[in-house]
Amino acid sequence: MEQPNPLQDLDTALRQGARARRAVIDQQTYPIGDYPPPRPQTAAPRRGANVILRLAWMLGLSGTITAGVLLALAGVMQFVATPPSPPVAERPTPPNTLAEPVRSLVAGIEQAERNLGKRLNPSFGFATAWPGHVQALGETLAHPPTTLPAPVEQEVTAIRHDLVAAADFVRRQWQAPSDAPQTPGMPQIPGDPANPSNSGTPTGLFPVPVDPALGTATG
Amino acid sequence: MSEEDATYQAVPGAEAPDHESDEDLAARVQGGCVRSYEQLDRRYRARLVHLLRKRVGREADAEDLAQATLWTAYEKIDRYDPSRKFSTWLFTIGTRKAIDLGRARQRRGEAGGESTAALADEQPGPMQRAIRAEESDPTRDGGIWQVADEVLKPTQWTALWLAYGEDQTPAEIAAALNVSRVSVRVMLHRARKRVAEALAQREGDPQKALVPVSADSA
Repeated sequence: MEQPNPLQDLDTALRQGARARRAVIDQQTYPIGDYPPPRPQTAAPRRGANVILRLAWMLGLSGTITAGVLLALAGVMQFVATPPSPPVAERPTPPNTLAEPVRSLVAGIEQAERNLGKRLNPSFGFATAWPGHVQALGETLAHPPTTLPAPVEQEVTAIRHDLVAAADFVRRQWQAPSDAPQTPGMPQIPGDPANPSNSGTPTGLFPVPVDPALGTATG
Repeated sequence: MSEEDATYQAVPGAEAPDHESDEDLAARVQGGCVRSYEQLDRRYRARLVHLLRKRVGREADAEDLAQATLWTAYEKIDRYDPSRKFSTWLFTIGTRKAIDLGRARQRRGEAGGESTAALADEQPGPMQRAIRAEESDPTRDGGIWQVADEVLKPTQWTALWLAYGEDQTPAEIAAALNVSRVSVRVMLHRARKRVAEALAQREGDPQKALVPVSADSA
């Protein structure tokens, strides 16, 4: 007679009992959930190219967020940081704000000094180093009044004397070697016998209006 | 026509017949068919309640957990691989939610975790009453599971029920319980042994058989 196997009997009993219990469970009714229609992005399976696209999208999103944070930080720093430079009004007035006649005068003086290889007169350097004074002087020269104020008149007279002295100096330098050829490009000296084309009047070396009452620059 | 009906009608052949397999229905849900998921809900809600009640203790809590499990599965349906069993995937979600609930209860100092005595229903729910009424009939099978309910730890009981009541393989049970296959085999062996001992005890001494055997001795 075959002996019963307890373990096999137990296994069979468990299986039959589970089947009977499942029948009871399946008879139980519960209200089902209310599920919304799935969104398109949730319905797509996450495999292959979809994973790569999602990864790329997330990387782009994180990059955009990082850039936005950095821009916001820069904007905040712009408000917090101290201005790096003083206001424009506090800066020294550059020389090119001088009036056109004064600039021409200074340029002519500088050109003459370069040609001579030395400074003509300390008063010219003094004048160029004092923009406010030269500016006032330039305005006076550009629009000469009928009656000059005494300080300006004195200054104009002093400059004119300097110009005369400079012209004498240049003439002496050029007359020493009397047979030397005229250097091309050098300014013409009024009344210079070495240069027959000289008409005896200032020819644009220094475009300074000449007042007949104060004499000419011929010395 | 509601938006849901429109979605359903837009899916070709989306009638979700009852003879269709779980995996086919889940594939339809991935294509946007809500009715197919309602069909899966009908098939699995009571089974989930029964499976999770042992772990969470009260049938009402098990119903809430089953609802959460089905909702999570619906939200994450795009992660389901139709080449695998849908039931295993769903039970995995459910058992992990039950584990999370047990840990949360332990942090709050409530009764829970592996203690079956602390989790016993004071008032059995509708499903428990139906099961007891059915299994108290001596002409029907199922009394052995009453013994299993009483003497097994929740994890042992879950493994045993998944094996016999849900036809899950040891590998599928291991995935659902997040343990190794060897652990599942050991668990099943000890559970069967514990049920056999309890049955023998009950047959030998009817008075003792009425007293639940401590699960700690298993």
